Amino acid sequence: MHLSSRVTAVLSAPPSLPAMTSSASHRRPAGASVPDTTATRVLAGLLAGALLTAVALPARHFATEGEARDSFPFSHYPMFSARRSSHYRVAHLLGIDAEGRSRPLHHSYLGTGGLNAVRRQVRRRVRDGDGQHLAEHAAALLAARDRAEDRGILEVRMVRGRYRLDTYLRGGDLEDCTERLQLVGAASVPGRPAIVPDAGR
Amino acid sequence: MSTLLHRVADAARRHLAPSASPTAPALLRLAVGGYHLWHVGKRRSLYRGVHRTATESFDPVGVARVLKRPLPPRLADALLDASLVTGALFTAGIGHRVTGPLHAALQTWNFSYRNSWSMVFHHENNLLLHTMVLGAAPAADALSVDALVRDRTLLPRRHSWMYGATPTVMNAAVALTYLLAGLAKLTGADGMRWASGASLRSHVAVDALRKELLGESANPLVRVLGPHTGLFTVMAVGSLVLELGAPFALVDRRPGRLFAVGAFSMHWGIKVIMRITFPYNLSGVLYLPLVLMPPPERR
Repeated sequence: MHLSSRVTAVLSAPPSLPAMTSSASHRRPAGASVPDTTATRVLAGLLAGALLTAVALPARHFATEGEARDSFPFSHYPMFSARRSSHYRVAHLLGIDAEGRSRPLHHSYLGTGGLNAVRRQVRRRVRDGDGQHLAEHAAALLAARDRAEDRGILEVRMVRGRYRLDTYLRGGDLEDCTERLQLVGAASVPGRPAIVPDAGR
Repeated sequence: MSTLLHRVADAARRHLAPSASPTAPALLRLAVGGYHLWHVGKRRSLYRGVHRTATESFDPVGVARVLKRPLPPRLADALLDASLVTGALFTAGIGHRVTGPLHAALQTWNFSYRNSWSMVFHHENNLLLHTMVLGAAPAADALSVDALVRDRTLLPRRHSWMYGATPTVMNAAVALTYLLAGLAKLTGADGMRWASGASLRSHVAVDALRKELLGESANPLVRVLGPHTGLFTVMAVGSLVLELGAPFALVDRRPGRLFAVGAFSMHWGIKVIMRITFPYNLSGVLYLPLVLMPPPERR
């Protein structure tokens, strides 16, 4: 017997009972703990209908122009549906070492809630002119956390970059993909030597 | 005409709400409740961090829209912890008539509140929809403390259409969410051109690039697959077929299981290529109601 047919047998058949006398063997199994009345059936139908209508209702946004605001838990699932241009803009941190080399720093220096939540919060704050404050906050956190992989970082820069997607997908490194890099904030890491002028990008 | 309608209604009832034992909704309650405990328990400190995010990032969604400003972090923490308590009661099937709806309500609040900080995540929607259905259904009539107290056995001899209807409503809600995701792509800026895969390829690139720039590692496989545009056409068409065809999963158990395998594979594919995790989908619990759907009732 296959596992699936065994599961089916358990789910569909009433639990088997030992051999019983004729009157007991004809006794019907009890119903659910909720009484099966007309009112129950109407209520179950209404609740199921209301839930499924609420799930389907965000489809109304498909007929409207512009970007509709997403909601929870009744969403119109916009992921992967927006048009993407050939470029991507993102605000992020760069760490600069003593040699002047730069590399992206982890988003947890900018906030909590995971990559995407932080990315959106930072985009808004950079747009509002908060870039310098973000760089200073990240530099202070970097010094306080003192992670081994970031010990060589002397300066933190908050930048807004524009990157070429096709170049990236064809294997180009970050420098090749970078079309524009705008500095919106910079701060030295407290307790570490200041970076020499002209170093870094 | 009325005979035909009567036959259709009868066939729908036998398929969608077949009389069954309480085992299927009970197993689903254990799986969904257990998953919630693991999911929230593992992320408890992350959520507590979110409760302390700068106020200017607060952008309420869903039921949290009743708030004009964030809750005091300690109150938000307490509500989160309360949902772990109701989650344990729900999973064990203790006082289900009260704890079921209460757990669904608390989960609705907590996930809506968590999604009110700049970004709406889509991986908790179906977990919540499943909990709502199980919380309102008699899902603790077996394999529960309630069953032990009421019937003195974990597997009482009960039979009802309510047990068959429970996985059907869960499956219908999930099928609708997939259908919406498919329609969103086709009614978006690219329309039918979405099927070419160009848009999907750009989304994959954006996702990988943003991970690199925000200090996470992107999957090197993205750059290996990147130049092969035809591959993205296949993936785009495949996902559209699956999403738009989701309602057929309700027709019968076979297409239901086929859909479950297809969707489960698609999410694992997204995980491997894009490293985007939909934990509830990847766990397989999302598709369990399709697997545990009782057979249609005989005439």
